[in-house]
Amino acid sequence: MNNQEEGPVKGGLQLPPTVKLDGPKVRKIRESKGLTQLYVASSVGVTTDTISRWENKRYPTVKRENALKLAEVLEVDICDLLEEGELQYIGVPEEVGEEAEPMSCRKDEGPASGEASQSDGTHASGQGASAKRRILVVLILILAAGAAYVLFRPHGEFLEITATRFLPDHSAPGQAFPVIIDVYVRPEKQRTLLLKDSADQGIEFIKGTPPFTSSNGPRAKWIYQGKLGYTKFIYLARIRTAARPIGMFQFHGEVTIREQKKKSFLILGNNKITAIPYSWADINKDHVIDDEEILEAYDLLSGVKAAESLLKEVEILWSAGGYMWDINEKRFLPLHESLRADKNT
Amino acid sequence: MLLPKKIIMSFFLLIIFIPFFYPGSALCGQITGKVRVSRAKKVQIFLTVPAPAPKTVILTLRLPEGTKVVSSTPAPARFLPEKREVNWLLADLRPGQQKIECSMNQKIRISDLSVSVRYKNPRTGKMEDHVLAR
Repeated sequence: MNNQEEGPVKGGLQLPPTVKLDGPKVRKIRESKGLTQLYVASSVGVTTDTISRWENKRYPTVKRENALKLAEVLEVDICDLLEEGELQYIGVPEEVGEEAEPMSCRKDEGPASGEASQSDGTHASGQGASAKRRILVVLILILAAGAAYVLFRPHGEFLEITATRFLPDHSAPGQAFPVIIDVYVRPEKQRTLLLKDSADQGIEFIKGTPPFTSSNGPRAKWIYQGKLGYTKFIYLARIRTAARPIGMFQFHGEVTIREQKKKSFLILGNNKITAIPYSWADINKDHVIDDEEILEAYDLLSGVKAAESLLKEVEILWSAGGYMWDINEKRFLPLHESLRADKNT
Repeated sequence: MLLPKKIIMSFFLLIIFIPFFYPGSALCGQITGKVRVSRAKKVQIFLTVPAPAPKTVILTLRLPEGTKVVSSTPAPARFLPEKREVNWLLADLRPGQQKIECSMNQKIRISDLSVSVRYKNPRTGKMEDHVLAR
């Protein structure tokens, strides 16, 4: 079927040769206007029986010309007389689509202007066009949501920092012991970190890995730049021999990262050390570095250059199978040395 | 009848091998090894270190009476004469095979030796202490 056969175009609406009327509606309109079936029948050029059949929906399909005449007689738009669903099959030809006025009487989601009408005369599917439109709307919404997220997301990521200090439970005055601070930063990226650690008077910081940026007595500071994820800061410290021989010393420190604004976090973990004449590696304080204790010490400090000599001292005590504290020299004597010293005295 | 047999066999094999791969298994992440005595005076210990490797391992070689280690690669960390034990402290281990070689002052038989390892299993965090050869 071509456009010529499609029939007249009314307000951009193209009717097929036959249309389906909404009978009860026709009756309602006619009665509301106070017109008789006879008047309408004579005006349209059909019999009263025909009008009655149309209204009772006995002949729902009527000729296009009769439907247009009926609309004229009833002084309504043809759309108002058509059966629901009929409008879905009515298209607008492509060549008039852009000029045509939009249909004002559309009941259902019909084909869009120039979109649904096909040049070969077949009726386009209104539902297909509707689905396309819905998809388009969803895509626009998704894009808008994405754009809104990019524009209005909170600046900066959620920064997670934990700093934990490992400190031995005890150490002998004058003897070096290790302090390890594990800093964990997420998300992992290039940052600058300021780490400060300090202790009570009587503690002396010796050397660090990475090296201290500055240190003074029981205070040390690192300014560290790099890809921060999991970073280990290790330093050696000692309890001064002049400090109280038995006593407790406290440590405190914080990590600061500048990310838009400054954020500081306290260093958690162990923060106390007691000055007693036992090796820091002798966890159970029995004057013997046993296998578990040497393994623990190695697990902590193996590969740390600054702690090599410290580890060697512990290894000597482990190898000796025991040690004693030389109160005069303020140092540990491996068992064989202490036995020799005893024999000499 | 062939298919059910295969299924049953696979099932039993699975049952047997699952414990080896279970993370909490005693066999998982363990150091294994073998000992060889060559030319009667030379002892070779081959350790197979799993991944993740324990950071440090103590290897203990118990010798028969009167036997002494003359030379060793790597050098032992200590000798406990009262226990007739030689210990190596093997640090910074990597997964793979480690070879420890030592020469004795006299001829020995493999049945006279006892070799064991002690380390903290990085998977379980527990101390492992097991014998490689006795």
